[in-house]
Formats: sequence, C-alpha cells, structure tokens
Amino acid sequence: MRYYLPFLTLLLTLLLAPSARATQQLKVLAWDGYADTDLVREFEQQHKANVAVTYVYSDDELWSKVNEAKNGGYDLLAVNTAELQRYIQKGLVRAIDTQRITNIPQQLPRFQQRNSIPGLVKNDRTYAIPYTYSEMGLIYNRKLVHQPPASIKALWDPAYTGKVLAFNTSNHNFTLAALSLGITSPFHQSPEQLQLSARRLIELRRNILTFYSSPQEAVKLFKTQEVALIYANYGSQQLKALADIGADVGYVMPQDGTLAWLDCWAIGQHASPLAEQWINFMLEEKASLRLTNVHGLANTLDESSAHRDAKLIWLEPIENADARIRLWEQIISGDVMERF
Amino acid sequence: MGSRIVIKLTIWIALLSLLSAGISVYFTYTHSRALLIQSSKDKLATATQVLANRYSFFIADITKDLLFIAQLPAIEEIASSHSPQTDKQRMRLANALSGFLRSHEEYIQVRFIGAHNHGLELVRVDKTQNAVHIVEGMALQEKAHYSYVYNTLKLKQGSVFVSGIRLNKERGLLDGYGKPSVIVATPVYGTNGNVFGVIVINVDLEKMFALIETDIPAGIDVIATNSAGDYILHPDAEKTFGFDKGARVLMQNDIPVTQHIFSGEVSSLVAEVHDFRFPEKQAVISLTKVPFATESDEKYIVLGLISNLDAVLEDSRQLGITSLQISLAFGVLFVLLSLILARKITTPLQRMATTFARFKQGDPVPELSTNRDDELGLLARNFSIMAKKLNAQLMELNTQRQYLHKVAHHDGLTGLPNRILLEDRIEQALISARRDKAEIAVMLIDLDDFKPVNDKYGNDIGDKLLQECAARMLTCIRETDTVARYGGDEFMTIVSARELQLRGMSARHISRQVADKIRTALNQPFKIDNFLLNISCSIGIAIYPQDGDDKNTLIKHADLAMYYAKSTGRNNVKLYTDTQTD
Repeated sequence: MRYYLPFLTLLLTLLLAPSARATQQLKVLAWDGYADTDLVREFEQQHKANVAVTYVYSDDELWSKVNEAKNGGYDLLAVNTAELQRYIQKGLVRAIDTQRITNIPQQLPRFQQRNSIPGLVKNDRTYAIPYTYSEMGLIYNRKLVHQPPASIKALWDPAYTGKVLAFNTSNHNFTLAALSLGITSPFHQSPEQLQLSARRLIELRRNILTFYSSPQEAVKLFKTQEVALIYANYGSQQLKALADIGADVGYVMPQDGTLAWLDCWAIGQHASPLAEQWINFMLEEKASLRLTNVHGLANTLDESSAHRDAKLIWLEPIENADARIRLWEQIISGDVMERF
Repeated sequence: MGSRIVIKLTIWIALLSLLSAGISVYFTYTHSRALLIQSSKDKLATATQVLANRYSFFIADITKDLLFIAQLPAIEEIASSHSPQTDKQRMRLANALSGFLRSHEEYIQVRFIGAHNHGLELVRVDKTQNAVHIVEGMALQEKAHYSYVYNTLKLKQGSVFVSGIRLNKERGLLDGYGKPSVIVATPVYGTNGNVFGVIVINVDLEKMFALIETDIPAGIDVIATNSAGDYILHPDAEKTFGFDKGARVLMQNDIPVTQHIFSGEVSSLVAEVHDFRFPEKQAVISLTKVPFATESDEKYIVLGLISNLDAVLEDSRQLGITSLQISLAFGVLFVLLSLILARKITTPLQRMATTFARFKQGDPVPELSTNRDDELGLLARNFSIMAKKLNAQLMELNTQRQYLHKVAHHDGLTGLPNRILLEDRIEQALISARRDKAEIAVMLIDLDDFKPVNDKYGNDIGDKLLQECAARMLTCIRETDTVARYGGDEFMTIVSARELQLRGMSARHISRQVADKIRTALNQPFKIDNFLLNISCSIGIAIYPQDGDDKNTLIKHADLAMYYAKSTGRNNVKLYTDTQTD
C-alpha cells in the first residue's frame, strides 16, 4: 500500500485538478425560449462551464426566486426594463463590464444607445443588456377598418363603438390613456393625472365591446362578435392566433402609443466575468435568431420592416400600482363618470 | 417408519389444502374487490347523474323566475314609459324584486339593466348577510361591456343567457365580491319591439351547490370545472377559479384521464384515481358534462363526484380477512383429517409390517385383515398366499437338506454313520471327555472271512450280511454310543458310558464287555436268503486318554489292537495295551 501511495496521489491530482480549476458554475434564471438546451450545451463546451437554467413564468416568481436564492444567488437573470429598477435599488444586480461583451456592436443602434432606453443605465453604469422585446400594437379587422389606424386614439373612435376589444389590466391601460391624452410622463402620473386617465378609460369602456383577459378569449370574441379593433396586449403572438383561424386582420404599431416590454440580461451581484461571456454568447446570431425563428420573439440584431419604423415606448416602472388597480376595479365594474 | 408416512402424508395434505384455500381466498378477495369497486363506481355515476339533473333543474328554475320577473307589470311600465323619469315605477319594481330576493336564499342580486346609457342599471337590489338593499343613484353602474349584457341584448324575448361561472369581480356589489357566481339573464322588449334592457339574476354558486348537494354523504366531494377544465368547485378551494386568480389549474393536468371529457370523446366517465384529498389513498371519480340548453358563455360545465374508496376497500379487506380465517380454520381441520386419514392407512400397514417381522418359517400363516375389500385387503391376501407358498417350499427344502445330510454322513447300505460322521463324533466325544476328565473307548471291528462270503454268495448276500451285522451291533450298544461303518467290512464304535464310569467302572472294562457282546452276537449264524452263514470278528480297542489323546492316534491304536486280535487267531478282542504287554 505504501508503495502505491505516491502513485495514487498523483493519479487523483491529475483526475481532480482540471475539473476543480476549469469547471465554472453559472446559474441562469430565464423565461421559456430564452436559453434552449442545445445552446446551453454549446456554451458549456466553449467555456468549460456548467450551466443550470431555471425557468420562471411571472415577474413575481422571478423577484421571489432572486430574493430567496442562497449560495451567491443567480449569475444571470432575464428581466424587463420596468422590473429591473427594483433589482438595482436592492443591489441584487451588479454593473456590467460592456467591454467584455464584444457582440454589442452587432446589435441594432437603438439597443446600443442604452442611455436612450430608460432604466438600463444608472450613474453611467450599465445594468442590463437588451435581448428580446415585444410590442403591444393594434390588430384591426380589414373588413371593417379600411385604413390602418395611425393612432392609439382609434380605440376611442366612435366609428368603432361596441366593436373594440381592450385588455383587462390596470397598469398598461392607465399608461395608454395618458398617452392618448398627451400626458408627457405616462408611467409617472400625478393623482390628478390618474383621475384624468380614469375618466379617459371610462370613455374607452363606453366605446368598446368588452375587456378580454387572454389571447384565446380574444380569438373567441373575434369569432362570435363583430370586432373591428383589438388592443394586442400579447403582440404579434396574438396576431398569429387570429391568422390561424383565418381572420382577415392587420397589425399596426401606432407612432403615438405603442408600448413595448424589453427583456434584458442582468448580472447577479456575485457573478464572475463568465456572466458577461454568457451575454456575449446570447448576442451571437445563432442564439438571437433562434428567438425570432423558433419562438416568435423579436431579437436585438435585426428587425422586421414593421419594427424598423415603429416608435416603441419601453415599459417603465409605474408610479403607484395599487392606486391604478383600485381605480381600474371601479372602472371595469361600471362606475359612472360622475364618480371620478 | 409408519409415523414417517403419517408425517409426510399429513404435511402434503395440509400443504395442498392450504394452497387451495390460499388460491380461493385470493380470487375471492380480488373478485369481490373488483365487484365492490364496480358497484361503487356505478353508484357514484348514478349520483353524479342525479347531481347533474338537479343542476339543470336548478338553472331551469332560475329561468322560470327570470321569465316571471320579465312579465311583471312594473317592467312593462318602465319599458314603455315615454318619460325618462321612471323613479316611481323603478321603486315599485325594486320593492317587488326585494321580496323576490328574500325568498331565494341563493340569489344575491337581481337587476334590471337598460340597453341604453352604456348598460346603466335601472333597478338593482343587492343582498347582504342580513338584509336586502335597493341600490340607487350614483351607485348604479354601467354594465354594457359584460357578456351577460351584450349577449342577452341580442336574444329573442323569452330566451335566457347563462354566464360562465367565475369569481364575481364587480366592485360595488354590497356583498359577495370575489365569490363564485353564475349570472342568468333574459332580455326585455319595449312596446316598439326594440330591446329595452335585460333582467339579470346573480346566483351565489356556493349556496346553490349547498342546495344541490343535499344528502351527499360524507367522504364524497363535488367537483366542477368549466368547459376548459378550470376548477370551479374543488375540495381544495385554492385550486378553484385559477383563471380569475392569475394561474390556471386544470383538471386534465391533475387527473389526465379526464382529458377525454374535454376533448369531446366522452360525455361522462368514471375512473379510479389517486385521492388528491388524502395522498396515498384511492378514490373513484365520476364526471359528466352538463350542457346548457340556453345561450351561454360556455357550452357546458363538467360536474362530478369524488368518493373515497376507503369504505369499499375496507369491506373487501374485511371480506378477505374473513375468508382467510375460514380457510385457516378449514386448513387446521384438513390437517387433523389428514392425520386421521394417514393413521387409518398406516395402522393396518404397521400391523402387517409387525406380522411380517415376526413371521418365521414353518409358522402357521398369520391372520391378517384379508377380508378388507380395498388395496390393503389385497395386500394382506397376497401376503397370505405368498407365506403359504414360502412355507411349503421351505418344508421341501428342509426335507431335502435332511436327506442330503443323512446321505453325506451315513452309509447307504447299513444306514450307520459313515466315517466322516464317525470322526466328527470321536472329536465331540473327546471334547466332552477332556472337559469331564472321563474316558472313552474307540473300538474297531473287522469281520473275519467276509471276503470268501462275498466271493461265494455274491455281493447281494454280502451286502445283506453287512446289514444284518450292523443291526446286531446296534443291539449291543447303548443309545448314546455310536456304531459306524468304517470301511468295507470294518465297523467302529465309540463308547463313553459316562454314567457307568461315574459308578466306578473303567472304560476298559466297559468296552471289553461291549466288545464281547458284539463278538458273541456276530458269532450267531446268519440266515440270509436260505443260506446259513457263520462269521466271526476281530475287535481292537483304544482307550482315551491312556492309548492316545487325539482321534487319529486312537484310531491308529485301535487298528493295531484289531490286527493283534486277528493275528492271535481271530474271533478275538484285544486292547491296545495288550499289544504292549503281550
């Protein structure tokens, strides 16, 4: 035994040393479709790393997972610009070393100009790199609407009374109402402005057929009722669902009010520089085009003609979610204008 | 030996009986379990159908109430009024609806909603825990964007719309916010033939099901889903109305077998499932589609019952235990019976074996239970036959053996012991004599002039003469002594005469007397076949121990004495000692 001991030690050293030195762990928190398994494997091989992807299905789930995480937490999280702010405030994410992400120049100019996207940069430090996005445009029934609506105000157009489908949600609807009223800070409304938006939403309520809650419900309503306009909360995804049933519909992104969420990669507070490599890998054509070709999501490298001309309003944190919910419940329940 | 058969037989019979009992218990158990489960399924399916019927009747009753309200005179007054000021009529209707609401526990709200003014409520009566309230003024709301309004407004008079079952999220309701409810509505037409509004009844689903569910036993729970599979009723309230709470919970995900209902393959089903109420328990679930006869948000709901199988499984377990107990009791009985049976078989066998062991050659054939008419009787009978045959053969063998013995040890002509036997007897006599320190005499008798007789009269006469000599010599000796034919015309005698020796007589003397007696007897004429023959004999005697202490010496010395007697003139007796002294 004593004779073999040096040999065994050598063998163990040889076996264990490379893995202990080279295999880095990377914990990723993402949404379905953001990190396909084959891409993850490719990254693992390129960087001799071990990647564990955890999927989330809601903003709240993402928030609680990051807050409850132990052992250094997650290295990467896919989070939208509006949500990102509370992560920065709580110090859950760290600034990104953009020099290490060599694929950033491949992105479209609008995503490279991070200062023009609210929430990405704070104190001159970048906290998130845009990865994918989806806008909320208008779907119109070509049989009833002959000119693609140029403005979000079309939802209020008496020409379509009883033929409009709006979405049942508090925060976007108030933002939308403010946009239609020309309020300059639709995400940060004063109580008086919220009151104005509420009255505007009652006008909307009086002009629509109903508020829908899911893409399927919108499809069903389109089939059974006379619908001219749909506010597409689910974006192009929803357009596809209607096209699938043979609906003759068009899709526009009005210049004055197309809200859009922008999902970015943010890096956990304790993450190593490998996290930057992950983002760089995700900005390569292979990963980014996968978003568009397989999952129907927009990528940041190239864009469709519809997107090219669109003025997208990236979602921002709102001033007071509870106040909007309270007002919204009154509105959807049918309270009369006199009560606001 | 016998007990070993008893043990083996008992064990085998016991094992077989236990095996058959076990098999029958198993089949009884599984079969009865299946039957009980099937019957439980059937019962549950029937109960589900009853539940579905009650639900349909309930909706039909609400429909009747609606249509009744739609025909109230106050409604017509409002609908046909030319003035927008209808306060008085609306108050009258509100009062009437209040009474209506009070008398129906499950109704939480009754409204008359106008088609104009964005579906502004004209009359609204809400129920709270304790009272009924007429809602007025600014509290009245615009409801045109609700499906029960815009859909009902399109219906013909007398038709009814049933909403999907969902949590009531309409703020402004005095009581019942967030409670599951179903809304039923019917249109009201004005005198001009245009639709004027809708009558809407809001039904508290929990109270409605409390009424429908009466007499459903404990352990059975009601489940309901909408046509997409979202739970509306579930023992775990957390799972219900997921679609209204942000995260859908579908029955087909929880219980995959139920997807056949939603895919339209079946309209009802009964299945055995894991009881989600109590992990690790089994339950039976019965589901049936309840289609709506009227216009509605959804084409149907799915109603069902889930029943624990505990009672059923306990029954079948009890049945299993009982049959196991019975089988065990019978098993014990079988063991006892097999013990008795084995004894019954082995006892006669044992008796036979003992008899066989005791049976000896020549014994009379033993009495066996030969009168039995079974295999044991046959065995006994065959044994008897075999024993008899054996006996007869042994007897024959014995006779032959005795004959052969005689032939081997006796002289064929005279019947006297031959030389072999004689020498053996001398040895025996010597052994006795050595032990008793007694004397014996060996006497050699040779016939004088026998050869001339043979030559003159032939062998036949010679033989007969030898026979007669032998007969005469036998008369001269004691029974205990031996006369043997030693050679052609030589005979030999052993004389022990112990009792005479005990009286003090010497062997020498006694043998002398016997020799003289023989000589005298043989001197008498023989009459053989009309020939008168005269012979004599010479006798030599050797005495143990003085003349020799072994057989051969004694014979040799008797021979010497005999020749001495012949040489001294025949017809004479000489002792060996005489040869020494003379």
